[in-house]
Amino acid sequence: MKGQKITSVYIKSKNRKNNVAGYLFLAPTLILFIGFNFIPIILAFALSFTKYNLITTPEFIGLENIMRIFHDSNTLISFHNTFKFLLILVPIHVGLGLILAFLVYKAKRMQFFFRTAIYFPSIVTTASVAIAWGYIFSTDTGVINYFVRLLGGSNIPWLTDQTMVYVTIGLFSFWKFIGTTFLYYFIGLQNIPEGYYEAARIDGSSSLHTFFHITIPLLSPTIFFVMITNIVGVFQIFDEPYLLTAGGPGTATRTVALQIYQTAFKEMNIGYGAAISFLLFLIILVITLIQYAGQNKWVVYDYE
Amino acid sequence: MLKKFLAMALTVLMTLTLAACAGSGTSDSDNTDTTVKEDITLTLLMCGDGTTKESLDKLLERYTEETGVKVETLFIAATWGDYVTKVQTMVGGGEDLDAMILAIEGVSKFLDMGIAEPIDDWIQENQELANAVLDDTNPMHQEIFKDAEGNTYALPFSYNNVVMHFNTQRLEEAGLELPEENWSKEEFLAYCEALTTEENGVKKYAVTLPYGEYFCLEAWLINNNAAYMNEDFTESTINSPESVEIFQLMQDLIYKYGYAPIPEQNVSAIEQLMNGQVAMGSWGRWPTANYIASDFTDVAVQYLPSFQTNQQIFGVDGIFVLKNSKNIEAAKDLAGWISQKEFASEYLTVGNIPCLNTLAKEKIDELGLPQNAEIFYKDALTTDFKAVSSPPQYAEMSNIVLTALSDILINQADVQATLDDAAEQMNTILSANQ
Repeated sequence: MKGQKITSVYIKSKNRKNNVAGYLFLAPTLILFIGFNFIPIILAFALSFTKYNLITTPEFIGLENIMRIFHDSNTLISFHNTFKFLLILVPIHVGLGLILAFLVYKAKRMQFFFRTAIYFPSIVTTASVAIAWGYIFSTDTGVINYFVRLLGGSNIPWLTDQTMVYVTIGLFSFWKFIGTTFLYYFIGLQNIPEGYYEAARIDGSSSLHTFFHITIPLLSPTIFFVMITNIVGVFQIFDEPYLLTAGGPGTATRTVALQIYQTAFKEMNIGYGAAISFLLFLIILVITLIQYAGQNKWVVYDYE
Repeated sequence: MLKKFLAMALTVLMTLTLAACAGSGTSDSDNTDTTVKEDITLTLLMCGDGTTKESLDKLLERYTEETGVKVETLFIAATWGDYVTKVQTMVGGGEDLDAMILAIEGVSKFLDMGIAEPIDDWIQENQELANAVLDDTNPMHQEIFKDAEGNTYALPFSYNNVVMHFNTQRLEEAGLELPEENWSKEEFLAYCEALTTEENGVKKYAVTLPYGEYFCLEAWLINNNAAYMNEDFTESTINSPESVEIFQLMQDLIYKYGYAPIPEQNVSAIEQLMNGQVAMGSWGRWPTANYIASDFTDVAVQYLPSFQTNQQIFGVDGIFVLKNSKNIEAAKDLAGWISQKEFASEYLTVGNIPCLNTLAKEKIDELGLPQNAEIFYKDALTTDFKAVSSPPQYAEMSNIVLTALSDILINQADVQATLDDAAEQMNTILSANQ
């Protein structure tokens, strides 16, 4: 009995030490999260009920900012545009990123070159390449339309038509940001045990069958991660419309993030900006929770 | 052992923190009277990309030699609207700022929020210096820096009007001379027709429109007796028939006549003028910095077409003292020193027009670029100037106006309906000024 008690105290003490070590390892991330995420979220929530311009004392105005969201055509347009971006950009990144990664993973030659070429734009400053893209895609003086005209076509309004601008931003986003998604998939593909493919080959499975019944299920945790991060990222899309179109033409590409920037940091209507950002936070939270709830049906974690 | 070490480290940290707090408290309680001038370092905020920082710092070294007060300069690369926002953020964040350049776009907002410090006492005590500026600047410029009670917040430093810039090589190719100063809308359209050409499948346009440029756009409206809003900023007039006429003309210049390119976000219109892709563009004097940097000399200026009238718009800036400065008196002295002819004559070589009329004439004639540059200062003392509409809600107004312009020029939206909508949005915000 005595021996058991001594062992139990020893284990408890060891567990406690392990816990302390665990918390210490967690501490830097936790402190950063609390300082730069949790507290700002709480503050944004509190500021949503105020009128505040950073200089004067916040004035409590109840639900006025929240109600304004549903009557402000510019904010409603920005949510509408953000959902449009979601429908365009998420399939591009999640789908094409996977195809690219798979093709490069399977490539026997020049794999290093492809990996570098695809990832390279991700490390270039968005602002500088956006300016270059602005010139390249200029309707009247851009080099793309110059070649279009040489081939007998007429100018394509890449950045000056409210529909076409989504195509251009989609192309830009694919070129600029696909590298990150590609990298996740590529690593995910490398982590799939070769044994599964060997077994499939022995069983005479076709390439397509192997892709859909081995690669995709075993890559599903990565796909799930990429999907979550992309949806959250697109909800917060700012760089592409801000740098390429400034939310235009008109309000065609004004997104929620741009609207928050305009309201909170240009008009200094911090309370209203906080209300919009808090609503965006809630939408992202709900969609992410739904995704987490639905993952049991298709994400495979236990394949070893 | 570890516990002891941690306890000791925490004690030292807390002691240091307390000491630091005590230190800052002492410094807060210091007033300017007891501070030796040699110990003062003022922070001066400027709007710009910093290309003039070196020359400014050199000039301010002279100020330090004269007074013992050191000056640190901080440049913010932004439009005037964004600059004002940035300053507001810095002041809100508790940064120590003493003086700053501020243009008309931000003046009402700053006065409204009580950020700026009046300089009437400095003017009273330094009448000779103040009068050297006040006697040589446009009273309309001076009025911009006064509040409703008549308190003065800054002396006029530099300004801009908006004129039409011409690529003279393009004029020559089309067999045209610089138009007369009261050229009409019909003459303008005739110039546009002659200056729109096509060469090897590449179109060269007559005119670039003031896309994204609140100040320059209103200059077009003013010459048609229109404006964004009434003079006391209580009601929008952007949907008046005169205003609609100008916005419609701009839309027609692109889509009906094909005289102007569709404006785009990242395409520099000044570059387009210099490389001949467009022949005309409406700006103030600021492109002279680009012209000189690119050795571009084929440029002339003339007033904007007199659609109904030839009335000049202006935007003016001055050096403001911030209310939360810990060295208010020293900051006022610095603002006064910067506003003097000696400083301005060395700092304002290109770009903005010096507000001191004698200096403007001197500097603009000395530069000799662009041709006909005297129109930058010719009317400098006229009282027929009209200030660009700059209510306290400038950021909101410029967003509404420029979004409407984008809709009209790019989406080909119905002009009247778009401006009616813009007016409604503006009125909702401007109602706070009633």
